[in-house]
Amino acid sequence: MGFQISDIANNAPLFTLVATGLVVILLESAKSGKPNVSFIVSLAGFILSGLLAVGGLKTEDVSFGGMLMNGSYSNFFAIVFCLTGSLTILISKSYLERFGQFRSEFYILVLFAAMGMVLMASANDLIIIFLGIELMSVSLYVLAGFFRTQDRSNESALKYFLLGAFATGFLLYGIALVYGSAGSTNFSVIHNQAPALMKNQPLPDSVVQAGLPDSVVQAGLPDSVVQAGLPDSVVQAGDSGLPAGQAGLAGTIFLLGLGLVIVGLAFKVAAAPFHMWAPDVYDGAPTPATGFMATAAKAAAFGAFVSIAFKMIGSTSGTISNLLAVIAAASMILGNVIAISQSNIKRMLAYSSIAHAGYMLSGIAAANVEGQAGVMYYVAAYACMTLGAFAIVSILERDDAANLSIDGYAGLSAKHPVIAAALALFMFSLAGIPPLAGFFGKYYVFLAAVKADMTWLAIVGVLTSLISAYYYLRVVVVMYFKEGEAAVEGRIGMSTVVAIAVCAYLVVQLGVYP
Amino acid sequence: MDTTFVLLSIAKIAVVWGGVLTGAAILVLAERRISAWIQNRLGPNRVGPFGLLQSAADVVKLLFKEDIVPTAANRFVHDFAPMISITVALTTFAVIPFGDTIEAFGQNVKLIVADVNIGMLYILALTGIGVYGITLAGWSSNNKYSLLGGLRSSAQLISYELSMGLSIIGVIMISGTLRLDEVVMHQTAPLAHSMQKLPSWLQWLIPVAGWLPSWNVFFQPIGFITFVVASFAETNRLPFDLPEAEPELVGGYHTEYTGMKFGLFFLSEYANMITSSALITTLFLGGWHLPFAESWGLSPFALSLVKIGTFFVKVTILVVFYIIVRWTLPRFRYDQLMRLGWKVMLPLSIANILATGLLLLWWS
Amino acid sequence: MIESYIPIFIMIVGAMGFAVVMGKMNEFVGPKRPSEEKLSTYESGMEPVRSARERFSVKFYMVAMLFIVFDIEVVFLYPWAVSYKLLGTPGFITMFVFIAVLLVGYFYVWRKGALEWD
Repeated sequence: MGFQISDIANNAPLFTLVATGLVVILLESAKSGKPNVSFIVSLAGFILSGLLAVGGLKTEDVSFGGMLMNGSYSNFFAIVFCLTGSLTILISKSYLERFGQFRSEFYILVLFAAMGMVLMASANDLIIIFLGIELMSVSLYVLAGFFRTQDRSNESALKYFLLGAFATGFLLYGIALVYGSAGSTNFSVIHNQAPALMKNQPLPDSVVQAGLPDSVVQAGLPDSVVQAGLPDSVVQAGDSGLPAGQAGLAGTIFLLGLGLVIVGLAFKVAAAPFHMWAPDVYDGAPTPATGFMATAAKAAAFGAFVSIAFKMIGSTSGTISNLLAVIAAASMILGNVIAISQSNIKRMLAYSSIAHAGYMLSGIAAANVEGQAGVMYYVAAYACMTLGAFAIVSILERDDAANLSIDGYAGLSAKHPVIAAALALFMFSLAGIPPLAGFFGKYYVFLAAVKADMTWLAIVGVLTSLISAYYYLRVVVVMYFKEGEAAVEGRIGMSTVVAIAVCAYLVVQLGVYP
Repeated sequence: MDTTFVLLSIAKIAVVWGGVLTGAAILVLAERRISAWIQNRLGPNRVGPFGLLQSAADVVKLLFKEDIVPTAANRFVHDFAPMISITVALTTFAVIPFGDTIEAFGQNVKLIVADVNIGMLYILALTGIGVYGITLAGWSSNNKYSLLGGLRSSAQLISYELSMGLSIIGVIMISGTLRLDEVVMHQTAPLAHSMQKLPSWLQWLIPVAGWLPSWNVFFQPIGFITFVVASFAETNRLPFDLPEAEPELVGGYHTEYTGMKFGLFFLSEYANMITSSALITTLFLGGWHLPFAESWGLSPFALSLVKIGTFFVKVTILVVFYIIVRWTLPRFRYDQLMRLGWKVMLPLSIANILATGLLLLWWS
Repeated sequence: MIESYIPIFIMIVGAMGFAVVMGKMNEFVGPKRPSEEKLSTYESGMEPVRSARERFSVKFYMVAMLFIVFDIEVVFLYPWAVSYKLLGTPGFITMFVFIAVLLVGYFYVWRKGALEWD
């Protein structure tokens, strides 16, 4: 049971979030109905945690017996989560007050979800990934259904929960198979095993390129499945001179497990074949919660994805890369094409988030250093612009959810020129217009794809970006060139304005000085 | 070895079931006689000497009753529920040691049916299954009283199962094992042994209390109390018999049961009473251990018998305590019951664990 | 190791046999004179109204969920308790933190009134 002080010091951002979460729960229990206090405490907790993460950027270390890996990578993601978390909290205040749902539980849930995200990003073990995903998802399920009296909110929570639980099942089964073939859940150990396991696997690449991990099963396991016995094959796969059949079995199981893990994570990032939940859930959930889901949760899932792809599998995996590339291309095409026909802005942003998941995945599929850096940059840029867009949506949303159609934004520029300008900025950035953050994100990711000899992927990405420009710019067009009565009900909360300003600043800042 | 082992096991099972079933039969009578005595009545005294055959007569009567399953009921589950209850009641005793070892068939036989290393987990697991019997009985009858009784009882049982599980943990921490026979062995040393570590201002206690055996009840008074209360709740005995609650629920979960299926519920309640008394004895009251019995100079065989007798006497005292409590205390209201379970017993048993942990750290 | 479970197996089989025989005995030795009245659901002499299987109070669900939370805590406590003397002070601190986190939730549930029953 030897844990050291350094374990706690290394994970200071995580423990700050944990402590803040517990304090807010205690405050809420001791004095019910004082959400203002919870609001301030949670915000302070997020900012403190973020600052600690900035301070921890330099140290590289493992903690808790190799379960967690702390360093620039995990702390970078922790900063992103703390940023999105605090912005979500800022946005939520006036929104929740307007809907009469201003309760401390919202902040508690955001804090707990952020805890799970930090865990995912700093994981060095599949078990921790699972733990983080569950902590995050369970909080998000409740956040999606936070408006208990609204049918739409309930529906979204239930859908998210059912499909999310299903995806978790995939993930867990995949983890079990990886553990069975590699003999460990630790990334470093699996990383050492992976080349041997991959090299001896007898499957042709074409099977995996078909896209679905199921096809791996159809490739047919040797009859010796039962006789071979897992532990034996694991041991033998670790050495080099071994009978091909058994090593092939372990390799097949390893690939199958990886496939299932990827399915589970692809669900969490809402990538193409596993995206169906996203529009309904994003549409029904309270808008700040949607923003949080679309940005932080996606960032966290990518944090885990990158860890698995780079720390666990390593760059030797041609098959996995191809699989990811197919998923990425499908997400880009599907998300962007369907987004065109959306009239509801939340649904439009949901499909756009699917498309962006595709862009980010192409960075992972490239499987080189540029790809990793590109994904990290993209995650930060995407978080700022999408959260900003959702913040503006939350200002305009009315009680009956009527004001969510894009046409309802007509004439916004005349009434509220600043807000319209901000939204236009976010839309330009999402579309990838230079010199904003969105452009450089895409640039890095596609550059990585080209370097990895995946030019076709980059071409698909650029083409779909062009498609996306249409629907992003349509919002701008509607705002500026159509007559209409886009009205904001009541006052715009100070905190929301601050959040939008921060997002806008970051979008420009990240773009101009990448 | 195998055949002997199996035969021995069967013999032990026969002894245990003989004890439990006869005990249950006698208990039914004892309960009625004691209640009559408390209420200044006579009670059943016609069938056989002192009414001793009353239970046998009851069983025969129940066996020849008509088996009524309401048309609205789910027949399979309705049949199945009492079977779950009795199976659980009859198998829980497997891991409780009812004596030390005894010389028989030329070898030293441990007086425990199944000497497994997870004894306590086994008991908790079976207690968990026992909930199903009552819940399913309540649900399958498709009767509002039964359903309410079944729901109430499942809520009650799971609430008190928590405190029960938590109050055992103190005992496990002290003895460092889940084997019930080792828990008993651990309690056989005189208390003076563990009192050496007392601070000097408490040293005067050694001559006063040092002769006592180191039964867990002296180390775990809070755990003992919470465990006894939880056992009462787990066996659905007054003051925790809300699942049955005759005045409001006309029998609760077994309203729609007749004949021996009703008899099985009845029997399992009494068998559970014996089992939980035996469990309390084993965990907190030293099991078969009788202080100073070793110094009487008895032959090993006689000593074994004395130990079995000790166990028997302890269990009997507890069972009589159960009965007297039933006829002395009024029933809880349901909100009081849940409040006691969640707001008193649960914090108390968690505090007990932390206190035990601190004391053990200080002790060693 | 596994053979110490043989007696339990024997016992369970025996108990099941006993249960089935006793539970089914009435069907064979008891009289069979069913009537519609006799087979209707008992409702204190009234005609039964509707099915009993309707929605019931959400509190039962609350109790069930809280039970799962705390029962899992108990499950974690068992192995810890068995090896408590080996773990020493770090073991105590670890479990103290674990229990403290749970108690925060318990406190919350208490204050929010989930344990009230009226």
